[in-house]
Amino acid sequence: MTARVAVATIRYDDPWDDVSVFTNRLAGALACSAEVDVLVPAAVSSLEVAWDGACRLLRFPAAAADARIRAAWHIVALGGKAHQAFDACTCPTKPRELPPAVEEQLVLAEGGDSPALYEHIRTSPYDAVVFVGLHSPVAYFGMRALADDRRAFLVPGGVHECVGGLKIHQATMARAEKILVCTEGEGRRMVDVVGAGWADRVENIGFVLGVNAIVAPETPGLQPDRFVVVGRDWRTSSSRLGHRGWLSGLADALPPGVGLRLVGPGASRLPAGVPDTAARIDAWWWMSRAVAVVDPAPHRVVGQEVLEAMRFAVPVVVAANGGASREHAEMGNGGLWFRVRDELVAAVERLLDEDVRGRLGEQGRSYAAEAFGDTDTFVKRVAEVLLG
Amino acid sequence: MASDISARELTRQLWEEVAAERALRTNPHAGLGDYDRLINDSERHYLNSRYVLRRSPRGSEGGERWLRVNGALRLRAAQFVLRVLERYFDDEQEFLAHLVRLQNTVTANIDRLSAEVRQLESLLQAESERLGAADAILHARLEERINALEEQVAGIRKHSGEAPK
Repeated sequence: MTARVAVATIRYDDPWDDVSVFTNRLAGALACSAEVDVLVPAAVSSLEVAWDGACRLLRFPAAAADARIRAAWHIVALGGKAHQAFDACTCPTKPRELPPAVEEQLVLAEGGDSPALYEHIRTSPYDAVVFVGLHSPVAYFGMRALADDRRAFLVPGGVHECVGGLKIHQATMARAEKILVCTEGEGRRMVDVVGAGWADRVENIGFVLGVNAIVAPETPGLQPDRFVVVGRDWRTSSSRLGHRGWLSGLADALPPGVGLRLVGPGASRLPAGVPDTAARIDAWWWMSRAVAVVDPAPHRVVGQEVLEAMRFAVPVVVAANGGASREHAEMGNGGLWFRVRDELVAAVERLLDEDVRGRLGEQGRSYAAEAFGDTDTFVKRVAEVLLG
Repeated sequence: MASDISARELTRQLWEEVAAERALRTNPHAGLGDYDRLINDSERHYLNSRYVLRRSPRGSEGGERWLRVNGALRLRAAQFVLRVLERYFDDEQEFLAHLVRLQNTVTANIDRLSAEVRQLESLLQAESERLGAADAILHARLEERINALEEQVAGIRKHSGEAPK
């Protein structure tokens, strides 16, 4: 009999969000050997049911996230800052001792609190439920709603120490049969955050990612128009305002003849933004022709843009505290990493050397194809860990 | 096929190069030129000493009688013209006095601003040097702490019989 599995996630259908993309791949892989429902809180008035490929997508009405409330709770309870520039991660490194009620408010401030979703989990006969996003109401309240005889798995989804170490998450992690991550580095970081006691539950299931090679330039190598690309979601005002200074500083500091191109949804509102690059295939056109793809964001879960650049044999330059993106650059020998802008500019200068660029690009391409390009292996691995 | 290139090694090299370049880089300075103070400018002195209009006509002295008569006539004519244009010359004199006073104020303010800019540049230079020194000390301390921690971890591993990674 085919198993019934639910994937309860904080976000799902945003191709520019690491957690969404990972959940999408995970649900797709599970759908090869199980009936899969994806449960997601959304801005809807009543339950909406749709199909996403082989998965049934259930959208539950939920409280919307308010960025100001979230920022306020982070500042008051954790001592963080509202906006973080790319190169200045100000997250506190140690969790504070907080009362449980305050910790719960920190979780609720993430948005997506959906009693209807928890009720659905409580009453539906799923064989297993995968919760995505440790520091979210979906995982916190959803795990509590799940009957004791049901299997539960947890995908932390890029949790920083300041929130991952909160005491209220201990019960969520204790209930999970496995804590699923997609890179070795994320596994190590997760053990650091949750403590060595949980190490045997952390399981790396990998990830799968592909690109459409049709957009790649006909003649590989350095293109006449030289630029570096930063790809991300620029739609939120905090995303644009928080990084505007950093980006203009980078544009001024880049070597002569090398421009800066920002791609992704909302990029056209920024000075170096390329319009009409909200679709990934349009962003790939620019990425595949870049001197390098720069990912300055810290604590990446998947490092999607980095892997995509590697699939196009384009070297990457990533933040030294970039999490998954740093791991890809280092493990795959496909790019360089930096701590300060001078190092980033020096890395771009080095990549203008055709030989260095070509060798790093080719090494990165091999790594990305071998480690993240085999769908069959990923599907088998997911089935083995979750259904085996 | 070209030999493999180590991203880790390349990054280490780049970081070292950037650190060396930073160490060699002299502190930025505004490159303010050495200018004379405007208050001592000779043109300003000339304007200050010559802005009063001379309104007493020069009469002729000595000589033949007919020349003295001619001089007296010219003097009277000049006095007549000056009396007719007296109000115009008063206004003109007042205007020139204001212009010179403004020029003196502008001169004093320019000199004052120039001195303040130099003071500010000197303060920024000192602060930049202080921050650079503090940064170097902080980095050295961090390196020391990292080394100490690494030694501690190695000691613990050795003590527990775990193979070093």
